[in-house]
Amino acid sequence: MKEAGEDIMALDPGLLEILACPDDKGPLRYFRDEDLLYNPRLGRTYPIQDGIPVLLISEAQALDDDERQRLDAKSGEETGPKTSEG
Amino acid sequence: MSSSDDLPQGEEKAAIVEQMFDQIAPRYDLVNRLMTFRMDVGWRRHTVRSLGLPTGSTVLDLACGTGDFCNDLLRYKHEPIGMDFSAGMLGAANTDAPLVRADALCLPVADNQVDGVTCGFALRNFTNLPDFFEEIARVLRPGGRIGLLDVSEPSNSLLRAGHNIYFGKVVPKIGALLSDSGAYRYLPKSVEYLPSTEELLAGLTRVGFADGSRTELSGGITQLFLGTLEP
Repeated sequence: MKEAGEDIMALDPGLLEILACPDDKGPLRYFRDEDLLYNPRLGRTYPIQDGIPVLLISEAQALDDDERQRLDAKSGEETGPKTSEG
Repeated sequence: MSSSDDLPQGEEKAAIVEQMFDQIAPRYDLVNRLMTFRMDVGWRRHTVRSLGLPTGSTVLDLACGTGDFCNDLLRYKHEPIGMDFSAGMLGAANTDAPLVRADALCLPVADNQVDGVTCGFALRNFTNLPDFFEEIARVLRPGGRIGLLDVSEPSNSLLRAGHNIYFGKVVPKIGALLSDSGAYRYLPKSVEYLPSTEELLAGLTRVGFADGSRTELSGGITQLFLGTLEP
């Protein structure tokens, strides 16, 4: 039996080092378990589809306050990889 | 693909180009190899060597398509990252390089991050070349290198006549037979989008590639722009 999230391919560490939000060019938080990249400054997420981050402003999802708080709290808990500080 | 002979501009161009590349993605590699007699492979490898970057360099390949340039960068022991606007192209990609769906005019990359930028046969598909040049200068480290390939027309009149017949008449037929006829009518015609050499080099100088140069390859049917970002 596979555990939840086992099928999700981790993004390349070298890629995560250089990636930034296409809008404000600042760093993104990577949530591997949810397959998304989060910009805490603009409160939006970018999807990762079949292991390929979709970093198009038109494809970003704007988050409501509850969702922002949830991801901000999760960011605080996690020590996982973060993209470049620019 | 519009049946009109007029070349689209701006957002209409972006939408048409994205849709067209999604559509031709499955047989893109095969058609390219056939219509250039495999010369495209040599042009890309020449570009990678001309970058002169040390092995292990991080190189961003923009409009990476199915990953040809990424594979040549891997062959020369670099660390490529491929980016393309077209989900279809990325879905059909055959490379071990990490890939990102992105807009080359609005890159999802922090400043001063990469050692090199390559781009194969896509300059004419961008809706705004000055914005593209600014973006590549922004993401490159000082001293970083660019190698931008695109089609060209030979300066020799006899070669140019033969070239025009081949790309105007033969390539669209190969495309129609194996892929999408509209796309392969657009591709040869899209060379008209490219500004003059002087304008292109001036655009590169403006954003910091003072040593920008243009080299003709294979009798001038392809051109290579090289440059180093000033420290």
